Amino acid sequence: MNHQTEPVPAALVDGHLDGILTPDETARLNDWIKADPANALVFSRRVRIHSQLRDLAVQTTWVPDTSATPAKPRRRWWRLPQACALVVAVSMAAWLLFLQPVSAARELDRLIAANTVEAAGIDRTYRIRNLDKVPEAIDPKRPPIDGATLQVRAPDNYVLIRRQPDGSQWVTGSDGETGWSVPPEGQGAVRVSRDPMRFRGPVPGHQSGIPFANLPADLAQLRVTYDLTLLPSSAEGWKGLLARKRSNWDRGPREVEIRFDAKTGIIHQMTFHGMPKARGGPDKVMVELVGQNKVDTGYFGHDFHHGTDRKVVVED
Amino acid sequence: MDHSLREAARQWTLAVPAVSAFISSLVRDFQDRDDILQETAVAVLHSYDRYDPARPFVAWAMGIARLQTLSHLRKKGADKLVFDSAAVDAIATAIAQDSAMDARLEYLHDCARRLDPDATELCRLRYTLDLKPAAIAERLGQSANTVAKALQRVRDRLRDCIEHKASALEANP
Repeated sequence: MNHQTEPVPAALVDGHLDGILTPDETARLNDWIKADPANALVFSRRVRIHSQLRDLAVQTTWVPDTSATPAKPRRRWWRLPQACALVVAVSMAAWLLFLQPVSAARELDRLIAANTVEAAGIDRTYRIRNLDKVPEAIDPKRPPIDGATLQVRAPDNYVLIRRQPDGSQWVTGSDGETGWSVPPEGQGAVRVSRDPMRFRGPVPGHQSGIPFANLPADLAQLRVTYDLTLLPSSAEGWKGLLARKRSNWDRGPREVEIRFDAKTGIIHQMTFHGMPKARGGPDKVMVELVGQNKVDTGYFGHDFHHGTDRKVVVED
Repeated sequence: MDHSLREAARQWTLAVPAVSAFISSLVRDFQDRDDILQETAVAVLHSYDRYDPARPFVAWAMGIARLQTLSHLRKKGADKLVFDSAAVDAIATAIAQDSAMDARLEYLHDCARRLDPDATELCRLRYTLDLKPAAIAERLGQSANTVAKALQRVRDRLRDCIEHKASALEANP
């Protein structure tokens, strides 16, 4: 810094944040910070704005709100020639690419936070699609996942409705305390378990350690065993995150692509690619949000989905 | 996922802004900050079983971030932090105890959107492109000192804006 007068604290703090202090100035700032807790507070608040500005910068495009502030005539030096603008754009793209793993991880953190706060008590309906070219084999004991409906209420309440080719429904679910399975009439008793996870096998990602019914926890799991990359926004304007499994020794699909609304944290699509095949099933599955309508709490209990005449077996 | 890992992830998510700012106070490059933050996240998740819930999580996580910062700097050939231990302690305490700032920073996005075009461009160069004042000055044909002062004014305006919004909300909850 080349100040003519003694730097005021704000100038010292900002000089530190911008990396332009001399060793002597850094030493003065050091002494000033520890001299008084009030100084440390001033410093920390300045740093928090600086740090948050960086986070905003990588999340958003810097576009001023011209409705709030009348646009001033721009000075000549702001008008960069097109060639320079192109260089800036290319540099920025390269830079963003360089930063992607960290930015993606932080984006995931925000998504986890949004779903931790917002998801509780919200009901979401998802449609599941099998994206394999080859349809699933017909198995009366294993209804196809393609076309299934998944109703989710965080945390851990879900109902999965799969349809047999003859139109009958196989419903599995959990009210958060018990897990249950309601096969079609004539295909056995209703089964209920004290383990809420007991019948979650068919839920996409469940056998992979990424169950869909508790999003914050499931997304946090991605943080641990997957490499994350930001994807360009979709045509719908949804942000994208691609999670690639780091090691084949870890459980889980090879890739998980998440499409979400950056403002609300609502996940609109999750695509699981390279699903484990230990129990058969498709390789690639997409889960799409189709509704956010509140359902009765009783909907997540088994007796909502069968007549009173059905035999109910409590497993344990 | 077991309950412990789930709880660690939840607490970490909430602590990220404060820990990120703490690391920002110790290193000058955002790339370093982001690398250290990621290393800290992994360390926090791995050592969560040693976390004492009687302690504030943010303070504990910042302790880990401090060690990760030292380790990161050593890999880059530096053997100590830019501030001494007492100053780093003071910074960590200030951040950990300043929960009011968490709420105030909610206004930053809106305040940043209201910056004039020149200030917005300055922020883009500094924060999106991660250019230091000297590099920005070269692009703009100004002195580094002028750019540094302009950045300081922008931060002053943003600080005033979020304080104003917070005060207005407190007066009319």
